[in-house]
Amino acid sequence: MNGLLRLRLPSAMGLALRLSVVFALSSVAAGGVAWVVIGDELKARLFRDAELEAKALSAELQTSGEAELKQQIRHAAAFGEDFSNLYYFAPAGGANSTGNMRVFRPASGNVILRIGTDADLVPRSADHQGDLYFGHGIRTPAGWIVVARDQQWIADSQEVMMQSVAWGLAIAFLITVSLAYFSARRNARRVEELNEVLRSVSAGDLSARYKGQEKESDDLSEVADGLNQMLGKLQENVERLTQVSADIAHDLRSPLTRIRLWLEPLALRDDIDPDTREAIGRSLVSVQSMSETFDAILQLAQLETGNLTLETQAADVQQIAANVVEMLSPVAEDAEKSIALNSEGTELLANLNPELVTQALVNLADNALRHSPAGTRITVEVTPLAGGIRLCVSDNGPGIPEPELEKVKRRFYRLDRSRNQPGTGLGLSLVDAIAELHGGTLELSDNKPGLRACLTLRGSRPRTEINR
Amino acid sequence: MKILVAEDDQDTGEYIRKGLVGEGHAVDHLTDGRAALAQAMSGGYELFILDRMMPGLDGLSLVKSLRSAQIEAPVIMLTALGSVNDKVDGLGAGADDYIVKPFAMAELTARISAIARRPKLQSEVTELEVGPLHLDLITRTATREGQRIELQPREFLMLRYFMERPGRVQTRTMLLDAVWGIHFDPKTSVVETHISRLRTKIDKPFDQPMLRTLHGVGYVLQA
Repeated sequence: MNGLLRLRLPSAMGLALRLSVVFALSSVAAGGVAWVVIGDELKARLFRDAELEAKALSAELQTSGEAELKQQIRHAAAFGEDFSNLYYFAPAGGANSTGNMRVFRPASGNVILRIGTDADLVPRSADHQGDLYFGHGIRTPAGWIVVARDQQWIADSQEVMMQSVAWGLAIAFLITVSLAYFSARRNARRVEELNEVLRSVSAGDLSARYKGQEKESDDLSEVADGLNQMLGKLQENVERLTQVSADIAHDLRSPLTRIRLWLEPLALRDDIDPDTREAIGRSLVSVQSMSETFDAILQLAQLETGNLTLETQAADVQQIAANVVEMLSPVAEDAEKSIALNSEGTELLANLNPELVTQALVNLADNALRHSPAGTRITVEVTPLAGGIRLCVSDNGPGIPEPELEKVKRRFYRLDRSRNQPGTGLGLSLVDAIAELHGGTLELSDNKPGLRACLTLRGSRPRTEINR
Repeated sequence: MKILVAEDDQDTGEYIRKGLVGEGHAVDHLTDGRAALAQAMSGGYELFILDRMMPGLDGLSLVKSLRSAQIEAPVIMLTALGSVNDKVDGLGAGADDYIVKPFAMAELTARISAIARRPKLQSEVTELEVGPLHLDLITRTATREGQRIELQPREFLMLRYFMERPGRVQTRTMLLDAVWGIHFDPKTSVVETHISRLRTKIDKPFDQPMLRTLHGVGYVLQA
């Protein structure tokens, strides 16, 4: 059971993983869009910040004069020593510029400045070579004012955002996968329980039910409910059928019993003429054969529906085979045939129902005896298998044509040539059912010439083998 | 023996009653389970023969009621259901024996005498005699009119069974059980074959046949 569970998990896990990957990919796509949108938004905001500050400085210039402006720029530049904010004031007329940058070709409006190409830092810094800044330039009568903001801020923000997304994603992924794993495992377990119920039912236990506790209803619990309902119906029907066949059995056997009890005293009387007595005898034989067919049908029905609780015990299969051979030897001899046990006299213990296995073996041997001409040799073999036992009855008679081999196991199926011979046509069906009840099989094959019928009893494990 | 028969089929019940009366038993026959229980309580029965399926109260419940009422007389169950499980159910409920319909009267009387004999310890019998036929249980050989007859193991078992029940009819079913210990019908002529072999040995060389075939019923050994 564990093996099955372990086998099943990967497929459920696979589904969970595929779902998680889809989830991750869409999250990454969403992150990419956010990256672009946030980048644009931050860029616009940096431009606007630069513009506002440039305008404020320009207003300062108008109200307080150049000296005050320079003072303020120096102050602001000193405050932002890490070059996150850049300031530039170039007085008209070519006097020395003020601020922590020098713009090579000042322009008005929003400008993107690359350090080294469009502007230089003051003092120069190799670390920032090639850095991008978003700036705004204003041309006043007194000179150029340019304010710029470090683009690094956008990159940092984007990085922070991507990190948060990545972490969130990782956690979400982990949660999804573990949820998927546990739900997959739970489902696998429920499926396994359902399988267990189905197996019990096929083994004949119609009272098996899915007993899992369902907190919420899902498709699997609906299947389980459906299964339980179906089994309930099935069990009810089978019980009704059993009752009906019991009733039929009773109703048919009562008249048979009456006939028998009426005829029997007559058959025992000496004052009846021989012809009449003969007729009575024949009637009694017919009653007997009717009730035997009836017994066979009932037994077969019971074996096949699994209503029978198989009582097994450790029995010596070699002994069973020897008994059957011993029992049928005189019958074979009188018919000018032979039956022999063709295996060593080693005790071979197996757990089985001795009566049923004997019956199966007698049926097979009887078949061989019945459907073969004088001179036929019948061999019974017992072979121990790993985890079972094989009992074979072979003959060198006419055999069964290949296409008929499987059909003869069917109920009431008879070969054309044996239609006029006595028998119920249920013998092999019974053997088949007995084999199945022991977890085994009945195989018929061509013995070239003749028939070879092998009964494999798998459930019956030989426990000890002692050489006599 | 005082016997109560509970069998819902009037005809069958009557035949059983007549048959058993013929064997020297005192028999009452009822067709209803409940009535049978009431009658059983009134006491004095040494054996019950109960049909498994009856109106009023079925045979199984009847056995259980009898046992819980401390009525311990042996019970033979008659049934139309001839399966292993039913047998187990019947014996589990407290029945002592179980006969599947349709049965031969000879079988029922044989079971009754088996049950009646059960408690008594049989004294050590070492030889049997029926008319001119003599069987030594120790050497497993028979003699008839001074002539020694060698027997195969199954032939010995069969002859012994007949000689223990002289003049009584033995059916195929009874012989299969007694000689081979099997409770199913082997469909082969195993019984017929052994009867014929036994007959060749004990009857053929002599004038008077002892082992008779009652066609459709069974076999009987008579002096």
